[in-house]
Amino acid sequence: MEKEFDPKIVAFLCNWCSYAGADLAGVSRLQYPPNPEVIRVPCSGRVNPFYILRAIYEGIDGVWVSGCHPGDCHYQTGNYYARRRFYLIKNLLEFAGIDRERLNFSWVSASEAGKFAETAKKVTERVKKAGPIDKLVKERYLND
Amino acid sequence: MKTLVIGSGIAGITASLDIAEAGGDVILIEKEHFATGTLASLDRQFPNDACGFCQVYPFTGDGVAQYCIRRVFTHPGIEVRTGTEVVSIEGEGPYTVKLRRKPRGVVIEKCISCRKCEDVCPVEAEDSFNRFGKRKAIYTDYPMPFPQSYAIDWEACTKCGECVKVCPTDAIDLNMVEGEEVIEVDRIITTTGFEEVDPSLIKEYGYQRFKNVLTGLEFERLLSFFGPTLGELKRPSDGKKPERIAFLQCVGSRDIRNPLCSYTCCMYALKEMHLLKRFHPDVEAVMFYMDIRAFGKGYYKYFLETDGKFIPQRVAGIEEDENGNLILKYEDENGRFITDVFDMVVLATGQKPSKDSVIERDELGYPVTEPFVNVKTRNGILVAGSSGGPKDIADAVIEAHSAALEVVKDLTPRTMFRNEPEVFEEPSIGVVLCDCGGTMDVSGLEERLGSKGTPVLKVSDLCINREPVLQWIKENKLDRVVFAACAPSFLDPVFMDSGINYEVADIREGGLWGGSDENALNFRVDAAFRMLENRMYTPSEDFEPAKKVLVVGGGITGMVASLELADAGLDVVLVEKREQLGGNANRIKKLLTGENVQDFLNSLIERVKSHEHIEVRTGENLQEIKGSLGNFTVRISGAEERFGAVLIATGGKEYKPGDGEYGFGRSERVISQMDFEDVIEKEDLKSKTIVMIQCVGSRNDEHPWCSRVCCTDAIKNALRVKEKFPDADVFILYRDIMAYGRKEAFYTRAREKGVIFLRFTKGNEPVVETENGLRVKIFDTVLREEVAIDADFVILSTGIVPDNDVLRGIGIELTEEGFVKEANVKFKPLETPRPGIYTAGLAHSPRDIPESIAQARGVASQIIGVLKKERIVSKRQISYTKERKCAGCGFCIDVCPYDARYLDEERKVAVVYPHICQGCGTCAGICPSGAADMKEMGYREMFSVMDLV
Repeated sequence: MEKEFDPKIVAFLCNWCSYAGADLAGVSRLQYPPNPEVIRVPCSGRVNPFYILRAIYEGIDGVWVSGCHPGDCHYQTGNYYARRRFYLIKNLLEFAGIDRERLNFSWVSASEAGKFAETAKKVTERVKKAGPIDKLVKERYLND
Repeated sequence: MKTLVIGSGIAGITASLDIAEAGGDVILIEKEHFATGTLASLDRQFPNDACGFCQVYPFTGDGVAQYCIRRVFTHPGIEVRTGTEVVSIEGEGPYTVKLRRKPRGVVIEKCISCRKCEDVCPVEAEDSFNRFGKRKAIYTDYPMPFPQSYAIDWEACTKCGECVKVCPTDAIDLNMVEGEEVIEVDRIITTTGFEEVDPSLIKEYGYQRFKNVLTGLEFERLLSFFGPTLGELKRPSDGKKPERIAFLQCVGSRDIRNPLCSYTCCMYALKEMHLLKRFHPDVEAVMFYMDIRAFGKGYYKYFLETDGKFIPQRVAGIEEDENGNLILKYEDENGRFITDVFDMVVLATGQKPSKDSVIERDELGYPVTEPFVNVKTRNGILVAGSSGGPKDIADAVIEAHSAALEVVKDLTPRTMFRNEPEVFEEPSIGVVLCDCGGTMDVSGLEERLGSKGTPVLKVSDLCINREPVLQWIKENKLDRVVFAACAPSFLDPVFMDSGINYEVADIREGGLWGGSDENALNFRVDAAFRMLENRMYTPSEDFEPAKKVLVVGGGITGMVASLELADAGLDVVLVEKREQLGGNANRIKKLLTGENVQDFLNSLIERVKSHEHIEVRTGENLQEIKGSLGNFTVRISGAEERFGAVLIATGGKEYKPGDGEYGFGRSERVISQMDFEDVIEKEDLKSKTIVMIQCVGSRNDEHPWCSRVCCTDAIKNALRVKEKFPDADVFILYRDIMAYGRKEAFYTRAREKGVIFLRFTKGNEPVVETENGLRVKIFDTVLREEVAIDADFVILSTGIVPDNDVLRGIGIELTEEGFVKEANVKFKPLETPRPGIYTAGLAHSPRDIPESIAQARGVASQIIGVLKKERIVSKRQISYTKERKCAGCGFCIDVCPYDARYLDEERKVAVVYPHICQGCGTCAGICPSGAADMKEMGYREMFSVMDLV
């Protein structure tokens, strides 16, 4: 039997809500798939569209950005920008032929351990369904 | 100077942080084994259903943990002692305090939270935190607790010793005994919170007899995502999802057992209805209430937004049927007896101030405080929060700031604490690997890192082994180190001020405990490694703040704040647009509690005018506020001046009824409540009939907010009339009487004195006829018929409307209603979103004089804390601009929530105020060219990590 597809997912979790939610999920020993590789960012608003494009470009199968619920943002408005930005880039990437299922956005608060684990499962499932991404040319992004 | 703060709820935390930030030393004691009081059990707060625990921490300050309050509480100036109670207090400042420390059973300094003990403990006990279900006899209250250590529930513990056997650090001591200690402190603030009235005393509601009758706090846990059901709604009797829930208000409030109003229950019940609709929209919610006391800022709107049925009746009794359903009996609006069945009942249990013996209290348990300043008690001990009477979070925070002022104003700021980690030219990185008392298998990681030649130190208890680890780092000449261990929230309190550069690779909570595989662990460690490798370190920047404050508005609020600031040695410029100081208070004779306002006001004006540090400017015009905390440039009447902070206390004004509104302008005897104060003093009201109409210009479509003071102003004046002219008839026509908290006593007294209260509803307002004498017609909801009253005077309780037009266009954000917007409704009620600009008094929202004074004092406390510092220091993880790439488009400036960026007009590049930047990265997120970036967590780091995925 063919080995099941094990997607690579990068998860940008905001420090205040979603990362804390992930912590709590761990403390509560809720089990969730290990596929989302977590990068802790100060705020979901810090995730520049470049990162998402770059992730896709580098052959990562899925992206998950998670921040505070509307109104909860530690920095007041960051998550609103993230939401808008994400909505746009989702449409843009779909236009460019990238499956919508690969891009996921969620609100998880610091107390929502259960929701974090659920979302991690859901995101992994969705990206699995979308299948492996066709790799583009891997090239080092020139910084500065 | 040492301050003892008793109680670690929101008031205690706020006061402690204020004092510690201003340079004082605080001992914060908590009688329970885990800190943060009631706060930790609340998921979300009204009136925005937001969480916001992370907002508690001060804006400035190095060394302050930037974390959610549920996770960590740490400040170099604060020593937290849990399980500790006051036995006795002697002296009148300084005080000699005897403390008793309850045995915890676990040595906090040794516990590494590995959970082995909890896993082996064979004893199950009632879960005291979640209020449903079970936990072990060795437990933590809530996940990620403070302190980060287990405790033993002695009532349940059988001393079997299983936990002692498995504890890898010998932290458990089952023979621990109580200890006593005597300390010397200079000041004491008591913030012991509230205690719930036992609802089982109200037998007809069957609490404890019927499983599906819960208290508000219990229901809160049931709704919580980390509660006993992880957010699933199940009723306790059979686990069925309820379809109909009844909310019963005033259970153990406003009755014989507890005659006062509990202040918060209406709002928390509304919040629970909101959350219910949000997460379980198919459940029907019905509230039975006496008055909806939604009197705070934004509360009335929140009430309007609540989806549910509201019945203004008390429920007579509850019975249970064989399925556990609850049968409620009540009388409806038409006088019919109704029997209705619900799946669950939530009682809005009343609250009383918790009794502490350290201050003088009246027979109901409320503290005896000084007039006008409700945080000072007679023996010099300060009281704040619900300990001074039940309170919501915002008001508790305001009081805590106000109480802290008494300490803050006498402090000399701490010598600046700078411990900037060293950085080598070439990064030298090591890894400290912790297996958490042998509970985690890290051999794979160790082998892999070893084979790559990375210096690795393997330990079993990193969180309690600070010094040896720091020693190892030094010996191996490392400038950066990866801690592959538990979550940052556990390690940051230990290492954040240790002078090393580190990054946590969380392989416990985020790794093995969540079911991660070997690859995921490797990723975490490699990612942290790469981040450190590619991180740009720059030292923090600092500057001296301007020690001068601008206070806008010369009412009571502005004057009280000015005096406190000036007494603390700061220079104050007080700007008032009118020629006369005093604002609205000029028209108020007495407080509800009887104190003379005019005497107080005159002494304030006199002191303000003669104070050497206060410059009063009347008739001036505020034009622009530029700059940031510690360094504002303000243009007043054309001239520019530098200030360190700004207080907006522009006040509010009385709503002026429209022509003919309730007969206003048609008869000289239709006047406003404020004008009536004068009439009572001057005219003979013997045998006269006075009709007062509430909510004139409040709580309507045009002004969707409660003006908070009008009900009690009406009661105050009604009582005054009854006192002077006992045979005068006074009617108060109202919608909901906002006699919140202690003010309920005056409402009761007014009814005892014969003041007649008639209720009307929105849409059924009374009609005032002015032809052929004054006649008021109202549909009485009790008699269920129209009543006509021939009146000698009709008094309109006109609401408060904002007077903030001067603030438009100068960089102050206002709410939809026109009041000044605060940074956070709950946790930062006095700060505006722009750091360094504060707001208080009616400019903020309607409130009475003592409440405005508390706000003014609270602002003063915060300003003194910041501006008296020698230097204001920036954080290290902040944004900067790669100027070569910057096109000067200004997107980053528009989105910055703190106004920490501005455009350099000459060079056309965006520039960062380093000490204002909070490091959120919103600018870096929006920058189209990648010019806006973060110093730590920048592009280079992020990309290097993404390459690993």
